[in-house]
Amino acid sequence: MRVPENGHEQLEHTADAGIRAFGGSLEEMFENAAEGMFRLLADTGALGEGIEVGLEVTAPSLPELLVEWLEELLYLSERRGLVWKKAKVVSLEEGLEEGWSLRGTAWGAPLESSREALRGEIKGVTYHQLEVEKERGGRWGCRVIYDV
Amino acid sequence: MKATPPLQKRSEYVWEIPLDARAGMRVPGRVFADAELLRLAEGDRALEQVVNVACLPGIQEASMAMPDIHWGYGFPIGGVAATGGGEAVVSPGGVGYDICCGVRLVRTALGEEDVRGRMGDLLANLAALVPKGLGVKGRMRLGRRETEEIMRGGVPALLARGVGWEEDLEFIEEGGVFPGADPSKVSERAFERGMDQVGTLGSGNHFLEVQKVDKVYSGAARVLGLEEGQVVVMIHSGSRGLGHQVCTDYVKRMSRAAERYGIQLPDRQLACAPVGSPEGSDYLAAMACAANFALANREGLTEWVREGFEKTFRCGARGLGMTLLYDISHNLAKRERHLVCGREMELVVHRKGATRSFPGSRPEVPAPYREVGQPVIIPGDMGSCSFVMVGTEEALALSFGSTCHGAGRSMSRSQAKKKISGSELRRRLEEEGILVEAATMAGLAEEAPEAYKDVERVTAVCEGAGLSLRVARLRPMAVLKG
Repeated sequence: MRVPENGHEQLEHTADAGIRAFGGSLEEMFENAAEGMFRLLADTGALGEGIEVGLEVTAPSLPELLVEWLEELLYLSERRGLVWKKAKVVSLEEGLEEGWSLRGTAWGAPLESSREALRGEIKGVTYHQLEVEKERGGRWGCRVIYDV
Repeated sequence: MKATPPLQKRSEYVWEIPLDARAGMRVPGRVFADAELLRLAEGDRALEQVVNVACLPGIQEASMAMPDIHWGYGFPIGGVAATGGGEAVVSPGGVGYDICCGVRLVRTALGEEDVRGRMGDLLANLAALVPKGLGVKGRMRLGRRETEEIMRGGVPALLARGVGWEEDLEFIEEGGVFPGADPSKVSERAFERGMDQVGTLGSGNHFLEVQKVDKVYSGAARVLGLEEGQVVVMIHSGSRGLGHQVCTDYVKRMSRAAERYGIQLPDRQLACAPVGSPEGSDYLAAMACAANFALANREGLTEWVREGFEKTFRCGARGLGMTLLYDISHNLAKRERHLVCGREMELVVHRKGATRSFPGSRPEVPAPYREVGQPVIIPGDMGSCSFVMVGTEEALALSFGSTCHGAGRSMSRSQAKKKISGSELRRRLEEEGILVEAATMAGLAEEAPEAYKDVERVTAVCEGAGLSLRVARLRPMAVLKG
């Protein structure tokens, strides 16, 4: 399968919006998935990155961890009045008891000074056609559909 | 890979997906469409989703698709599923993220000629008074306790704060307050996301339109207080961040509990739980909170609209005849009694992108409308028109009293943005005499008329199938888009 240059691409879906994202490592795929979502929300090239926020999520499986990660980023942007530009995974690991956990950092700008760059709203991250898989050759890929 | 399920024609507008189309179906699929709408539905994966929904435990009679059906996530948009009996489940995905998203129509005593020359002022006043767009806070600052009161008490709780009109209550679904709301079943996050958002339009496909009645189809219009040339206001919004979070929380909780209840589903987004289980009853209590919040939100928006008209026309809103025609949602799961194979049953009717369409014989219909049926308000797209319809006895027999909810998308949002620019669209609409004020130009392009199915056709098919009857057609004069 062709890999898009920036590691993510938008999927066509009649009612909603979806993305596919890729990465040489799981961490990179999670970062690309976040960036793909940020680009649905805003023209990230026009955004500042002066505000830094740390976040941590856990889930019983990798696909659910992906949903948690994206949901947490949406929640934090709404709660703090921010628009995200980029996100990095600090650590991502599978524990013995609690399943998967991820620590990350996101950078963005205040919503009020970024209105010109806004593209749309995401109401929710769905489990519909949710996929995380390691492809032959070791590359990771995922698919997420949003309710917009 | 796309696999279109087999379809059998039952009548001009009714198609059936047989029970043996796929293993696991508990009921057949029933699609209301003409050949053209069916072709559009076959173009995406909506029919496959009708089949998936037919696998839900306790589903009765059929997994149904209204004429505006399109591909959703889990459930199709335009889907109706009623569950009942011992196995009955409730599914948050069958309601959607925007719980109790809906439409209300406010009359005015003004005619087109009274408004035309003042439209610029009116739109500017409405734009200044109605909070819209992403992350925009409402004009009411509610604390936790006040938000809880709205969740429990709906519109009457807002009236107690001095916002809204008492006489609106009779014309709001459930009299403005859904029973069974329990704020303790709503997460802290959902609270946080809802607190600042009562009386805000939001973004996406939500809008406020000043419209004129441009065609009347039957005498029912008189009963509903509508006549040709009359100016009305349509408001389309929902439960905002609160509803989104309630859906998020309960899809997660139910998808993790499904195994415990022995429920196997073809799509995880169909996550559901038995109606009487802790997950099921907690969801219904939380959903009612979000629904009450949505009703109060639309009442708040109506207050700002009335204020905008008062400011523009220097006359009180009562003097301007700004009474509520009706408020009805198109994303809900409701407990209703219906006949199933000749036997009355208590059902949970999921309508996701579908509108309740009851005849006047049902007690839920406001007394002044009993002779014509419950008003069904169908928002169209910006460039064309919207419809007022009424519910029918046939809808009760065919679709658990349900009909379409709008035109339904035919083009994805990203396709729309590639094909149409927001500023060009705005110019085009203005050439047609429709003024537009939008939070973002990209958001405007997503909602371009080309991105939607033909609402005339959708409502004609609803009428042909007997699901609802057209009463009036409304043309936009000014659009305020979130």
